[in-house]
Amino acid sequence: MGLWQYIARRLALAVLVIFIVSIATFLLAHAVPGNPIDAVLGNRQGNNPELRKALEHHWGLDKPLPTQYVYYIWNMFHGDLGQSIVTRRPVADDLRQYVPGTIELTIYAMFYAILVGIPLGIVAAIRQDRWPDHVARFAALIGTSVPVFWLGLLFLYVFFYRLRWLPGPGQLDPLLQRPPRVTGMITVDSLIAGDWPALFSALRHIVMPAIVLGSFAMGIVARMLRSSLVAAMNDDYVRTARAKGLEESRVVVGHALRNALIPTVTVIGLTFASLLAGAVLTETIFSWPGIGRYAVSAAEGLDYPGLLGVTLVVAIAYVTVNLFVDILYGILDPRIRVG
Amino acid sequence: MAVEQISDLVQRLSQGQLSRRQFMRRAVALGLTAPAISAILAASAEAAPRAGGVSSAARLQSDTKTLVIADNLQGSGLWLYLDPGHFYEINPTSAMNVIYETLYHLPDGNKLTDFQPLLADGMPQVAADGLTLTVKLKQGVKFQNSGNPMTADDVIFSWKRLGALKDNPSFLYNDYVSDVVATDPHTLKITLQSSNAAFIAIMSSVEYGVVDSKVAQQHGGDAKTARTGDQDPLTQWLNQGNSCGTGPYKLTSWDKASQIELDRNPDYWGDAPKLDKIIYRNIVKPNEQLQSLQRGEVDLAFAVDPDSVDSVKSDSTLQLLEGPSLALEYLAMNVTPQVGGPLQKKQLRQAIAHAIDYDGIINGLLNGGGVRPAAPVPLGLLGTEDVKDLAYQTDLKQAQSLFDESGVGQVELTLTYGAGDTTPAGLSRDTLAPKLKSDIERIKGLTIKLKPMDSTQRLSDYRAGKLQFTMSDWSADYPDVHTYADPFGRPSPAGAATHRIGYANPQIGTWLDEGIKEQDPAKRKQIYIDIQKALIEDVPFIVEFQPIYRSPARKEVQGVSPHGVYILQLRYASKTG
Repeated sequence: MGLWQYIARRLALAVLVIFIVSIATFLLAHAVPGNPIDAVLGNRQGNNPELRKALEHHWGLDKPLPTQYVYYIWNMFHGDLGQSIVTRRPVADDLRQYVPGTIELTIYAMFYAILVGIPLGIVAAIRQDRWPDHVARFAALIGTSVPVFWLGLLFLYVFFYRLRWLPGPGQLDPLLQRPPRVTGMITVDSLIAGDWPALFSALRHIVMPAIVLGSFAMGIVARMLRSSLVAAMNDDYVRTARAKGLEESRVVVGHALRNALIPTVTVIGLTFASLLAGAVLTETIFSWPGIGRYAVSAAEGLDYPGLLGVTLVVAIAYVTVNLFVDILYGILDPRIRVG
Repeated sequence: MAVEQISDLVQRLSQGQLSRRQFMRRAVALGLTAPAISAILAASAEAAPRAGGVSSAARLQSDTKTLVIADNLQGSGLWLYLDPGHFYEINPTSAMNVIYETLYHLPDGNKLTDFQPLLADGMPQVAADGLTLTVKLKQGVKFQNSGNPMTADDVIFSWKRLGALKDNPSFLYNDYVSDVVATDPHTLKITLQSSNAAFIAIMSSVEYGVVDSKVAQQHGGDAKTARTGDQDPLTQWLNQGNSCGTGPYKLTSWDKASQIELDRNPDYWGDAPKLDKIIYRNIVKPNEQLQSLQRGEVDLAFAVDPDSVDSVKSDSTLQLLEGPSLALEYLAMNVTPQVGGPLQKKQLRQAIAHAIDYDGIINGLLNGGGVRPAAPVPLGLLGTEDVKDLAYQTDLKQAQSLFDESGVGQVELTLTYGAGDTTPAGLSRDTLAPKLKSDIERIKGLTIKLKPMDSTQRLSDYRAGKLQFTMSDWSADYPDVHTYADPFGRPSPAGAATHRIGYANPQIGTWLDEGIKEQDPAKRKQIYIDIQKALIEDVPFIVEFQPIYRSPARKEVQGVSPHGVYILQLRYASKTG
């Protein structure tokens, strides 16, 4: 089976997964007692039956549940995810606005996790059971075990409030003009616009949330790489490489690391989940405009269309990342491809 | 004192509010010697911001024409529209108030009965039967951007649109007005459905703001079609960062995820606005709002945690702006036998009212951020001061004897509240609920079961009259006593709050009908005093507190005050250097 066939099969499976996820979310959201109309109407009009009926009709809440679901799916295939009850805008527009913020934050967090986690793992493995290993282990432990919200508050307090090294919540200095929206990712947009002050400000703003969000993944990557690298270093092919008289650095990077990376890549894919979960908290603490924050307000207002939209995006992100990880496997280890 | 000035200068230098050159100039002016200045500069070099260049905080501080306000723009039910026809929220009222203008307004938040003409020229002439009002409009008022002159047609279009849309605020028109016509381009004749002494207050609500009818129609607005904000092309256009009012500031940028910007209206018809720009910056939590304020990234934080008030007061760079709200935090007790059970007994309700430790809540939990009216009508409105002393006092002996008198025996009441909700004063209901429980349980024989609920579900159940005993809040629709007396007094099922607990006192209904028509202020006041006294005696609702709005701001901020109606009065805002 070729690579393309493999991808096609995985994509078909992904559609099924997303379909099941959408039903589950739909049922769960509607199982919550309480009526979103009450979140929409103020105290004075809350008991105006005419207005309640009109709004229930407007959001399709007056139809039986299965009909609502069929409508939802039908509209979804036409690119219409419905109207958000909380923001009163099309959910598709909301997602277009908020998804890039989360993607941007997640990418920077992942960068941090990889750029710090991998060297940390390597150092820990080649200096096994000596002090660099202990230091790395401690750093990884902190990263994986400290809750995101606590780390976020601590970082804000120390690096913004106390030391003043970095700016506070938000994406950009309030006095700067936001660069024209192209990708919705502010660092990319300011780069495209060639707006250096904005780029500089945006980069400074993203440092803290990215580190906070990426710290869990960083810890996992470091630990995983250490253990698989330690195992690889004791394998026969490494002994052979050393016997050939190769320099130690080439033995580690060229031979052992490549094999040790396979389980690490899986783990990076899986920790992507933790990034999305962590994004809810990180985005709240840093007032970052992303879908995590959006999901919270949608949940607060029993906003079914908003919640479904977010779930859909998260499901697609999951499936995509897993697919990407599987393909990456094949590249790292050609034996896996024919699965 | 020179010493204080020097230490203030050093502090501002270390916070990056002053450049080295600015510091030197001011230090020399204070008589500091060159070696002393260079020593201070050297010492502060390490503490200076390491951003390479001027920090945003420093730029904001030196910019005396921009006011940056930290507010949560993104949460559920916040900052939906800045369109008078659909508007029905709390915090954004501060922006509405400077973009759109009404015929009458309340410049001073401490005088909530002192209406002043704004777009109107003088107070209205009310006919003897109270049914028609004639209002002259100011000449020479121009709309932002378009420069169109404001005429009676714009007012009529705006008001009729408010009624036609049938959205949250539409009752403000539909329930009171029967027609409005122009007798000449600058004279309005308003016909009411019935004589209404509160109508000046009603038409002072920001929902009665006047839009540029020509611009509105160009963008798909009309005064005929019922539609929600998301169906309304005019609202959608406004939400892209546009505005068409007559106010001193205009909306120029709308990005709820990061910031909303208002620019000075250079052609404003009245006194020129003092700021070039007002920016609302999205910072979700009060704690982070305060940090950003203390670090000079914003000038004003909308909200403050009661716990942080002391740190604001002790910070020499900050001030705490305070003003009375028109909101209430209250307990509702269902008085029907089916749902309320023992609460149908008046003595039991009175006993509970005597058992609550109001001082502990207001001075302890709120850190002084509240006052307490006697009845469910906020202080500052007509007749509230006269009944203030009748408020239930904490008196356990009295509480116990009333409880025993009620003859309900051993009872358990279920007190519901929205988990994770905050009261209008920023205090979490999760904190307030256990305090109430332990206060009320000081009555022997009475136990309280706390039941936290999803907040929307609680609201649904409360509105459906299903809750025995619940914690809730209310805010004013317009600044008149009737906006509270009616929902909390009008006999169930007609009253917006009373029908949720099945409370009906027909006498109050009669008084309300008289009170709304009465044009003689003294007689009118007496009627509302009687209504409040009846509500105090029956006590279907217990008000725990009326929040004081508190916003911490930097010392440079001038002319801004929290306001019961506009939440923040920004019309006279300025900044000193």
